[in-house]
Amino acid sequence: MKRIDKVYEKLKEICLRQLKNDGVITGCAAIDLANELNIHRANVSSDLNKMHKDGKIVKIEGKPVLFSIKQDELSKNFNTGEEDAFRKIIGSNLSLKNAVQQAKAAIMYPPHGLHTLILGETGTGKSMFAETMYEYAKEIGRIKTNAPFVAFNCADYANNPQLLMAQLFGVKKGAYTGADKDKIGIVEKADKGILFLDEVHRLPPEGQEMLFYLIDKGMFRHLGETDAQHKVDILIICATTENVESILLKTFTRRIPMVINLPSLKERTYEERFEIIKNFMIDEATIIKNDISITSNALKAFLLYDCPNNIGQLKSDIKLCAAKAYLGFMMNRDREVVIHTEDLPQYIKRGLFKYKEEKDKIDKFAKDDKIMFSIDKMDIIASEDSKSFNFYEALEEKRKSLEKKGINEDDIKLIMNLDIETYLKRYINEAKRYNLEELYKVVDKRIVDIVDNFLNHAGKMLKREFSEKTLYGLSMHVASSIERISSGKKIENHQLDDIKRIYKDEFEVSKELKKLIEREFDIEVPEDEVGFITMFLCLDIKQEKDEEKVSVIVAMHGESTATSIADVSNRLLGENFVVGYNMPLDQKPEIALNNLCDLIKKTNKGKGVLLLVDMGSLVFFGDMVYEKTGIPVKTVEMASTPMVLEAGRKALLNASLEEVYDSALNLSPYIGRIYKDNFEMQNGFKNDVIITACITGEGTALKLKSILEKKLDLKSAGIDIIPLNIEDKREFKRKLQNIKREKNVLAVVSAFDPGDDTLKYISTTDVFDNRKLSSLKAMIDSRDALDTINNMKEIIAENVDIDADRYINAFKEFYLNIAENNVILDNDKIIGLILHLACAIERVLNGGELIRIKNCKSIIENNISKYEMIKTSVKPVNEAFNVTLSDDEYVSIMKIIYSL
Amino acid sequence: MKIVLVCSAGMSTSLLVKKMKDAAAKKGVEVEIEAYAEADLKRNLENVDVILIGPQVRYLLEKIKQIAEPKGIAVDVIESKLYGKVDGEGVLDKALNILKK
Repeated sequence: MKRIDKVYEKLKEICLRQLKNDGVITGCAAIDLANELNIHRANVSSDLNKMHKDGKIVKIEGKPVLFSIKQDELSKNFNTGEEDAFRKIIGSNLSLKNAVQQAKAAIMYPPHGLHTLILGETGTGKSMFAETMYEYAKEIGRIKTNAPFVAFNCADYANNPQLLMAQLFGVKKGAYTGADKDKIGIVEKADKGILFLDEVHRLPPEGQEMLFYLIDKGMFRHLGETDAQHKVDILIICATTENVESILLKTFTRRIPMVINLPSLKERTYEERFEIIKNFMIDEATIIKNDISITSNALKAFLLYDCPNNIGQLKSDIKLCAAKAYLGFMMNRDREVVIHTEDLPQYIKRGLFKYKEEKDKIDKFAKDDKIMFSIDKMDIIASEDSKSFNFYEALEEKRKSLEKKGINEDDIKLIMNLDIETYLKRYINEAKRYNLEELYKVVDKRIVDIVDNFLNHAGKMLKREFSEKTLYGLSMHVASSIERISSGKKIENHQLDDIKRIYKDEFEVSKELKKLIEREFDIEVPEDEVGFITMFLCLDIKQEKDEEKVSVIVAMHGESTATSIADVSNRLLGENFVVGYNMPLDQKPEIALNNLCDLIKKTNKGKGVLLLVDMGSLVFFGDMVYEKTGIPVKTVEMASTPMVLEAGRKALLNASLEEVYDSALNLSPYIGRIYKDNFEMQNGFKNDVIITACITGEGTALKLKSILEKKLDLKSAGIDIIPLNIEDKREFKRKLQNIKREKNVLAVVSAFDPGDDTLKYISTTDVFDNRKLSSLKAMIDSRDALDTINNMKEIIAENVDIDADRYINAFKEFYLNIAENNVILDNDKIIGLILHLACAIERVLNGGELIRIKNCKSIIENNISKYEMIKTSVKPVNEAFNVTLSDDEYVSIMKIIYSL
Repeated sequence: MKIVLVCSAGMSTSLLVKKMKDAAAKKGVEVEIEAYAEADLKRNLENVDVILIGPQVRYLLEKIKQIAEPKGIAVDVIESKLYGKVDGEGVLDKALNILKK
């Protein structure tokens, strides 16, 4: 390299360093270059002057004379081609092209750039855009590379204007009580850089005034200062979701020359939306270190669904679904991480309803059955295996998964029976948000008309009115049935026999719809399908008052946890809606329960209450409150602020309790998944079962299950628990009858008393009462004995002249009483006792001679506690026959029991 | 031939006695059958050939053997399967079998 080139290279290096470190090129004197290069100063000087003469470098006159490289040489180094900070923004040359050009102009505008106002809905990426502007300003050298970017959200202190002002502009010591030292504000921190004020419409009037002054003059005062003024050199970027026509913003736009509009997600093209989705998917894949696939339908839903909070929401929705899919993968549901349609929250799934209209525009993104996003490669890999969103397929899939677990046919039928109603209800609930116009978009109008006619007819026949929801739900159902029948797939209804038996009238009426469909569509509708139609008629869907809202209560341990979560949520919701209840650690559960009962009574507006709790006994309060007050309560455990927020948001939209519950649950990928998996019975059921039923949600039913299993040692006793999630007493009774036919139901634990004498009933509250629970325990331990006792009924009826039914039932109670006192008898003694006591009763009733026992008195005296126990335990028998046994009789019972 | 049934109060065994007598008549076996409370047994051991004890008082077996075996009386416990069904015929057969030995 020639000397002159060496000099040029060195000069360039120093200039770039200056630009990088100081933001400006100040230039370089000949002597400095000479020292760095170790060349004689005179030589360097002559080279520099030569280059200046050739127009290769810039000479800055002064003392000393400085040289620097030319500006265009600079941009060659910094703006390599088209790449700049904005390029990484998706849509920078599509919907955002205009915005990007404006932003570049604002930054480049001499001398210091233009203050800018960014407008856009929540989640459109205003903050990200402002940051990109900052990056760009650094890139082109408008600000130094170490220049500050300070972001401030004006909503953060909106309730405390003084604090907000202090944060923004700094405080002089003594400005107000508590200002015990000088404090600099973020305006000063942003000096020589960019100040980003988010949600600027939340700035209080005092703040606006000072901000305008700052904008106009570049000067400001600390809080508490009267005369001193400080000068800063900052570029201000403001952002707001408000309408630009609002009064505040008008005063803003007068002063802020550059207004940039960021388009909402809806306004952006599907290409952009797909790119955004792809980006977030790859982000997630990178986080979990695993490729993520999405089924074609799920991708369509993501492209189409209504996403009012724009990209921000899209991102968190993708995060959530990816987390669910990952959990499915971890728990061996899938062999890879796949987002299925059924993992999506309802509101995303609803996007699919728009599919028909947008088909042409989005099909190109979802050509394959499954689309994969890989960590390393940015491109997308297609794979096969398809899934669709359909009521039948949901049932079929459930069936298959049960079969795979090796569960026997009877148990599968039982489980499907219990689930089918829930499926249907969800189906209907999903449909209800649509009006007729929208329904026509998804369902052939002919079908809707047929169903409408049919429901009118059925209403007359059954003297009942059907709600709109039934029309929508049934129409959608019939549409998918017709599709299914036409494609030759089987329709299977496990409850058909029961339906025909229990809902005879409805079944008869439903045949009418079968006829109508067959005539109109020229297909054959099987009886199984008539069964489904019947079920739609039998679901009593409550007409809710839509104007009322579900109340949302947070109850947590600790002095202030619940109220602060409620507080944060309310502030974010912008409405005082969520109520917090703090349960100090030393508070007795009974007191907390009472307080909560009162609170729930007070807050309930007739549409029920969603209770979000952290842990422990609070999980069960919902059912207990229901037991006491009859107010429907659903409980979500392990609640977090986002869950509370989502529940609040949903409730404010007048959603039903069920929907609010689902929305909160959906937000916790863990809980949702855990419940779902736990609820799918793993191996079918043993013959002896205990039923736990909760109206408050799966969480409580499962918690009850695990508590009972532990306390009663059910595993080793060979007893299964069937947890039921029920909505009302009728549904409970129906399900109970179903189970009773298949299984030996030992007991029912629930907030509802099913009113069935043949079942032992334990209320939810009793589960925590060890005394009550020990009677259940005694019953479980005595199962064999009770069998023996039952088997003796015929013998008694044959041989003894007393009411055998009554006697056996009373004897069982007697037996359970002594079992509770830890007396376990072998079969010999049980049989002996049954016969003995039966004969004794018969004799008393017939006025026959009673037994006399020698030294009866002394036996009693020596075994006084046993005597008392027996005497108390035998009471049910005495009462059943309205007799009183003699002491001699008690002693003879004692003799048998204790081998005296 | 005389068979004695024993239980704690002689109550439940009395059911069995009736059934056994019916069975004996059917079979044409001539036999005397009585039921006693344990406390009354000692006074009623004359001419007894076999004593059968109700299963619920199985614990009395040794005690009764001590007083009965010296007199050449066989003692056994009725299985609860027979007892629970109040199976007169079954218990009678059992007694007859014991006597055959």
